[in-house]
Amino acid sequence: MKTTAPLTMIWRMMRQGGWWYVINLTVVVVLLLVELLPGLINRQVLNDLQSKQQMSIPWLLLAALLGITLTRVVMWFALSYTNPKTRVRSENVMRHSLLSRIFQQPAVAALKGSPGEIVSRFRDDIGELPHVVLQLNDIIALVCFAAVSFYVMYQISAPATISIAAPLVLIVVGARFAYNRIYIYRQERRRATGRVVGFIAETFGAIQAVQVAGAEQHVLEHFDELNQIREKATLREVLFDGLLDAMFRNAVSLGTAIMMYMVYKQAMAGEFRAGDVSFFVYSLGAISELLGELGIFIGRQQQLRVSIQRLENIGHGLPAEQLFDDSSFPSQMPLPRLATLSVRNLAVQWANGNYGVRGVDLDLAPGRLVVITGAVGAGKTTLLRAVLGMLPRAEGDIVWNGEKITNPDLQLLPPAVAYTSQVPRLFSDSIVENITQGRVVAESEMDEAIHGAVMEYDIAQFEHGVSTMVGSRGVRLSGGQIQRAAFARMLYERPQVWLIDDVSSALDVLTEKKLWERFISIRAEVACLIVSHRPQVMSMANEVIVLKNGEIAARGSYAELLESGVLSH
Amino acid sequence: MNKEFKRYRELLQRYFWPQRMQVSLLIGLILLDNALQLFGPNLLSRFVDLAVDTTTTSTQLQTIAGVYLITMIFRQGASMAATYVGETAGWRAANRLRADLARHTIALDMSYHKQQTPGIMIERIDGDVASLNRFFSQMVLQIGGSIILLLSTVGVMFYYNWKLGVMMLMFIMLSALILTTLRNVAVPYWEAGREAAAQLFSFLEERLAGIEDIRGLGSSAHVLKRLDVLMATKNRYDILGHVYGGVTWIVPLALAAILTILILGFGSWLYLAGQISIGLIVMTLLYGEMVVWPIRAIAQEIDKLQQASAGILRVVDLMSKKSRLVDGTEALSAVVPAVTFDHVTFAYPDGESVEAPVLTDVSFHIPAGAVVGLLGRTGSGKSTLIRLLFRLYDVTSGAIKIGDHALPEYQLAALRSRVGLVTQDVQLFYATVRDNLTFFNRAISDDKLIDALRTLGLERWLSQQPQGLDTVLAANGAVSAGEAQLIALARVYLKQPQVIILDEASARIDPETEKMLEVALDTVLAGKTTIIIAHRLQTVRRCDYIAILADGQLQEFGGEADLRNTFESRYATLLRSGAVEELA
Repeated sequence: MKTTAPLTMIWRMMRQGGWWYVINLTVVVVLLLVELLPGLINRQVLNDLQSKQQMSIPWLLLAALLGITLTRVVMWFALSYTNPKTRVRSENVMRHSLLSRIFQQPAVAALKGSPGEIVSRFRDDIGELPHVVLQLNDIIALVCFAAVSFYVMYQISAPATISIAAPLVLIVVGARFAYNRIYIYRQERRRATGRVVGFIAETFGAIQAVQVAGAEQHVLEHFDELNQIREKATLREVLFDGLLDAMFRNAVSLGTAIMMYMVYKQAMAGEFRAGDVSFFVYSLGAISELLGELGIFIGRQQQLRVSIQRLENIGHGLPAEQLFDDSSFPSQMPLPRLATLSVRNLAVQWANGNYGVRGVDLDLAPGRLVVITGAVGAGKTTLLRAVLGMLPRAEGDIVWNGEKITNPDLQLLPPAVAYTSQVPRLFSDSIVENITQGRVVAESEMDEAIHGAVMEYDIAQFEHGVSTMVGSRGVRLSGGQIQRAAFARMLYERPQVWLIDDVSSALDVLTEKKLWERFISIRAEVACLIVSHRPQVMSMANEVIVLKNGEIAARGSYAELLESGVLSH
Repeated sequence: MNKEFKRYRELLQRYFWPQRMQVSLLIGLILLDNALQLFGPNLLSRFVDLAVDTTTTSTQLQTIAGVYLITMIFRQGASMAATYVGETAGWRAANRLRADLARHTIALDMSYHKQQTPGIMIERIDGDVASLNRFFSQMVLQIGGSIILLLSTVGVMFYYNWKLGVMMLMFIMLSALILTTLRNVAVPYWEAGREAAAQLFSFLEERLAGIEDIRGLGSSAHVLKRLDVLMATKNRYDILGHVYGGVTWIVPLALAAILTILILGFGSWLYLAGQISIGLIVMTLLYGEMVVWPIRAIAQEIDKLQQASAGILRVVDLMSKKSRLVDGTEALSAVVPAVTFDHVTFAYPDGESVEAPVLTDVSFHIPAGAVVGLLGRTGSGKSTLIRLLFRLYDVTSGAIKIGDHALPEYQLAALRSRVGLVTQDVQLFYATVRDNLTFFNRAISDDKLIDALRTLGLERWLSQQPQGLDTVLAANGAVSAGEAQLIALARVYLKQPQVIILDEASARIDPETEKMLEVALDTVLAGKTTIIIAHRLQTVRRCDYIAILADGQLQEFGGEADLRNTFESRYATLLRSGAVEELA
C-alpha cells in the first residue's frame, strides 16, 4: 500500500478548506504587507529627524501609524476567525471517514491497537495535520514580506543586505536537520509520557488485583522506572528546543552585528541613518520568524509523514488522501424473509497459520436452535464471529435462502440478524438509548424485550426506570444486569436470526433458568445459534455441535451426545 | 485555609529544598539574561550616536559590532541554561512527588478507590503533580523574570532621561491594568471547548471499545451521525475560543504598536528640544517592543499560578487521605490456618456516611485445610464477605479471624501475601503475559511462570502467543473470558498462599476445561483452607462445608453431605429446584 505523500495531503486539505482557505490566505498576505508599513514609517521619521528635514513633531505620519494599527487589529481578528474555520473542515471529514472506515472492517480485527491509542490518533494526528496548511499560508505571507523588505534593505545598503542573507540561508539548512532531531525527541517524550499515563490508568484500573496480589512494591518500582525515562526524554527535548530557539534568535543578532560591520563607513558618511538601523532590525525580526516557521515546516514534513502513516495504519491501509472522498457509510443491504441459513465449510485462519475454526457446516431455519459447545479455546466464539463476518473467512460460504452472502457487514445486521457477545458492552447513555441504538422507541416492544431478558424487576427498582443512565461502559449496573440489558438490546429488534455467545455467565441459577424459560416462547419463529454449556439450553436444541480445536468433534441431539458419551452431565 | 497554606508551603519546601543549588543558579542566570538583553539595544544606540559624531574612529564602531554579537550569544546561552536548569529542578521535584503520591495512593483502601476512575487517578498523580512543576517554572521563570526585566528597563530609561522613564512606567502600569482586565475573556469558551473535546473523544473511545457490539447491532451509521453532532459542537467552541482568545495576543500587539507611536512622537519632541540623542530614540523603540510581552506574561501567568495552586492543594489533600485500614504487627506463620467469622456485620462506607449493612451478624468457622462452598443469589453479600477476608475493608462490627488473630492484628502485606484470590472479573493489564502473571516482579523466573501455566493447562495457549511470555495482552479480544480466569488461577498458583478464595472461578469455563481445572485445583488447593463462591452448584462438589447467604445473613451452614441428605435443608432444596441436572 502506497503512503500518501505529505504534499498530496496538504493539497487535499487546502481543497477541503474551500473558500475559507482562500480567504485565510488573502488575509494573511495582506496583513503581512500592511505590517511592513510601520517599519517604513519609523524609518522615515527617524531619518528625517536626523537629517534635520523634520523640524516639528511629525503628526501626519503618527496619525497614519494609528490608522495602520487599527487596520492590523481588524485583520488579526479576521485571522483568528478564518484559521479555525479552515482547519475544522479537514478535521471533521477526516475523523468521520476514518471511523467509517474502521466500522467497515471485520469487527474483531478492526482495531489496530488499544481504543485509547486509536483515540489519541483521532485526536492528535488529525488535530495537527490541518495546522500545516495554515502554517504554509503564514510562510507564503512571510516570504512576500521578506521579499519586499529585502528589496528596501538592498536599496539602503546592497553590501549589508547580501552579507546578511548568506548566513540566514545556512540557518534554514541547519534547522532542517535540527527539526528532524527534535521530532524524534518529541516522539520519545510522548511515548514516555504515554507509558507513564497508561501505567497509572492500568494500575488504578486494576487496583484491587494489585492490592490482592500484594504487588504494590513491584508496581511502584516499575512506575519509578517509567518516570525516569520520561524525565530524561523531556529534559533532552527541552535542551534541544532551547538550542534551536537560540539559533533563530541569534539569526537576528548575527544579522544586526553583520549590518553594523558592513555599514559603519556609510554611517560615518551620513548615508546610513538611525531610521535605516531601525528598519534593518525591524525586518530582521520578521525574517527570523520566517526562518523559524520554515524550519518548523520543513521539520514537520517528517512528522506529517508519520502522522499520515499512523492514520493509514489504523485505517487498514486506506490511503489518507481518500479520507477526503465521499465517506457516507454504505447503506444496509436488506435480506428476504429467512427460509434457510447454511454455513458451508467455514474456516478462519490466524496470522500464524493456525486455524481458528475449520470445515464447519451447519444449518439454521426459523424455529431451529443449534447450540455450539466445547472447551476453552475450541473456537466457539470464533465460529460465531466468523458467521457474522466479524472475522474474515479463509474459506467457506454463508448461504441465505440459497444465495451466498457476499457482504456480511452490510447484510447480516438487524433487523435480519442480531448478536450478543460474550462480554457485551453498554455505552454511557440511558438504558433506552442502549437498547434502541437510535431507532424508534416503541414502548410495548421495549417492555417485551425487557421482560424477555428478565430485567423488569431491576428496571422497576431503578429510580429513573428505563431512563436510568448506565454510566461509562455500564459501570452503574452489575455484571448480570449488563448481560441482560444486552440481551434485551438483541431482543428489541425482533430479528429472524439470533447469535448468542454464552450470555448467561454472570447470572445466578434462578435468573438464568427464568431467562431460558421465557426464551422458549419468544424464539418460536427465530433461528438461533447459541454458544453454551448449560444442559438446560442444550436440551432445548435441535442440534448440539461439539467443537474441538476448531473442528467439529461431534454433533447430534443432546440426548444422543449424552448417550454416546461425548458429553457428560 | 491557613492550615492548608502551611501544608502547601511544606510541600514546596520538601520537594524544592533538595534543589536549592539549582534554584540559586537559576536566579543568577535569569539576572544575567536580563542584563544582557537590555545591553543589546543600548549598544545599537551608541552605534547610531557615534556614527553621527565626527570624532569617532571606525575601530570604535567595529568594536561595538563585535561586543554586540558576543553579548547576544551570551544572552542566548544564559537564557537556554536558565530554561534547562529550571526544568531539571522542576522535573526532579515533580517526579519525586509523583513517586511518593503513587506510593501513598496505592496503599489506600478500596473505599477510596471505588469512587475513582482511572482517568481521575491520571489527573491526580500526573496532571496535578505537573502543576507543581508549572508552579515552579512559572513563578520563577515567567513572573519573576518578567518583573525583573520590567523594573530594569524602567531603571535604564530613568538613567538616560527621566521623562522617557515616566512615560514608560505609566505605559507599563496602564497596559498591566488593561491586560489583567481582559485576561479571562476567552476562558469560558476554552473550558467549554475542552469539555466538548472531552465528550467527543470519550464517545469515540467508548464506541471503539464496543465495536463488536456496534457491528452486531448494525448501529454504525447511527454512531457516525452522533459523531458529527459532537464534532459540530466542538467546532463551535473552537472558533469562539479562537476569536475571544485572539484578545490575549492581539491586545498586546496593539499596545506595542501604540507605544511605538508614543515613543516616536514624544521622542521627536525631546530630540527637537535637544534633550536626547537620536540613538536614544532607537533604543527606546527597541525597549518598547520588549516590554509588552513580560506584562502580558504576568497578567496571564497569575491565573495559571492560581490553577497550579489548585492542583497543588489537591495533591496536599490526597496526601492527607489516610487509609481506613490501620496496619497490624503480627506476621502470618507458614502453618495453614483456620478461618472464623464471628458475628460479622458490615456496611460499605460511603464518604463520611455509612450505607445500609450488606452483611448482618454472620458467624461460621472453617477448620484449617477445609473447603467451604459459599452459595447465594447475586447481591446476597458473597463478594463482600470475600473482600472483608482480604481486608480490603474492615468489618463494621464483629471479627474475622485467621488462625488465632483477628485480621487487623496482622501486617497487611503479610496477610495479602498469604491469601490468594481469583475474582469474578479478572483484571488484566495492557502489558506482557509475564507482567500480567508477576505484577512486574522481576525476581520470578520464566521457568516458574511456564511451570504455572503448564499446571493450569495453559501451555497450548502460551504456544499460540506470537511472542510467548513477551506477548502484550490487549484489553479485549486476545484473551477469552475462560482463559482470563485460568490466568488468574496461575497468579494464585505462583503466590502459593495458605488460604485461597475462588470467587466464581468457573463461571465462564466450559465443563471440559473445568474438569482439567479440577485436577489443577487439586494441586493448587491441596491442604489449603479454601472458600469457593459459585453461582453454579456444580462447583461446590469438592466442598467439605456449605454456607448459604441470603440478604446478607447466613441462612445455612453445615457439612456438605449432611445438608445434602437433610430433605428440608435449603441446600437440598436448591439441588432439587432445577439445578439438579447440573449436579448430577
